[in-house]
Amino acid sequence: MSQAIPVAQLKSVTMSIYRYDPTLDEKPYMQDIVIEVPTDKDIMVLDALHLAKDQEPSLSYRRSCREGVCGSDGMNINGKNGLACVTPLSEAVKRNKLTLRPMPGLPVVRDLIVDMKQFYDQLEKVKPYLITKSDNPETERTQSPEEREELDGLYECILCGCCSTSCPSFWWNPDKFLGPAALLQSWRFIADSRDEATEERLDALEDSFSLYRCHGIMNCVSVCPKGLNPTEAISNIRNKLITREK
Amino acid sequence: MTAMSKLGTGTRDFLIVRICALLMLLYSLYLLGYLITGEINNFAKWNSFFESSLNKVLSLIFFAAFAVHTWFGTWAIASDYLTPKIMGNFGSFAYIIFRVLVAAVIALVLTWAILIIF
Repeated sequence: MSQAIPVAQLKSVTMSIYRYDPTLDEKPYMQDIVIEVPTDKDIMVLDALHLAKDQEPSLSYRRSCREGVCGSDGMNINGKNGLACVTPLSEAVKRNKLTLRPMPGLPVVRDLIVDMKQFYDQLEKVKPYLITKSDNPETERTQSPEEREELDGLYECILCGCCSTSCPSFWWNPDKFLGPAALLQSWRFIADSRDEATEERLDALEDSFSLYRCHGIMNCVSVCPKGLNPTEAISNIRNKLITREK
Repeated sequence: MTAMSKLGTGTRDFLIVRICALLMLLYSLYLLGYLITGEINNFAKWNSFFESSLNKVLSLIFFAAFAVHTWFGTWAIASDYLTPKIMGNFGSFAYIIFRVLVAAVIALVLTWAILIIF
């Protein structure tokens, strides 16, 4: 049976949360909710959201695994995108205040929930799966340990959307610029020794927008909760595009 | 040039912008070198520097690179910000006005540069 935490061990944190229910609200607004958090241990932003939801049951957000694997709870935490479930409150709270907004650049469905369609549409364009043309081998398609190592730092992406929605190029042209997440996936398959569609993949990226709209500001690297480097992946694709023989 | 024509528009533009930037950098360093080493320390030497045919051609290449770099670079800015998505109905109009203005400024700078150099 859980014990109640003595009041002396609690401190107040003001959460300023973006609220918008298109069926009720004319326009979005920020709602302050004061929560009491324990002082003797750190909790995550997601836990703080649960405390806020106890007070305000209509507050909506996505969550699932609560351990940085599913990528559901990407949001803008004090101005920087991140996963609520793996962001400690002690790191996020500034001057006793925590501001939470939905990930920027995507349409808001409700409160902190965004419509990820544009994000997934762009991902679909890079064909994020192995394409092979040769006959199927008798067993599986094998890789050497060195070839497999090429995929480190690429396969770990959980598609939370934090990178693409922190990228101004994606904000301005979400239908034309593929965004860092999709381009990281593109490089993940170009770099895969088993994939046999490199030329087609590169051809699809040679227009002025799909890849070249990246200006290398590296917001994507700064916010990636998995510590990945989409800018480097984009740079690798660009080098391939420039150096390949046609 | 043939190799360039086989490239996609993105790769071609990317290379053109960077090659032009490199040309402008090299010219700037070339000119800076003369200034720092004291080779050009009075108006007569400055005047004679630009009287040389080689330096006239190099200066012209610099301004041509500037024109191309500016044209492509401002297109990237305009196609980010001056769009119907950002500015509503005014976006397409703002884009056209901006492009015409950029073209006019480039033409003015090029004309002026040619008049000064030659």
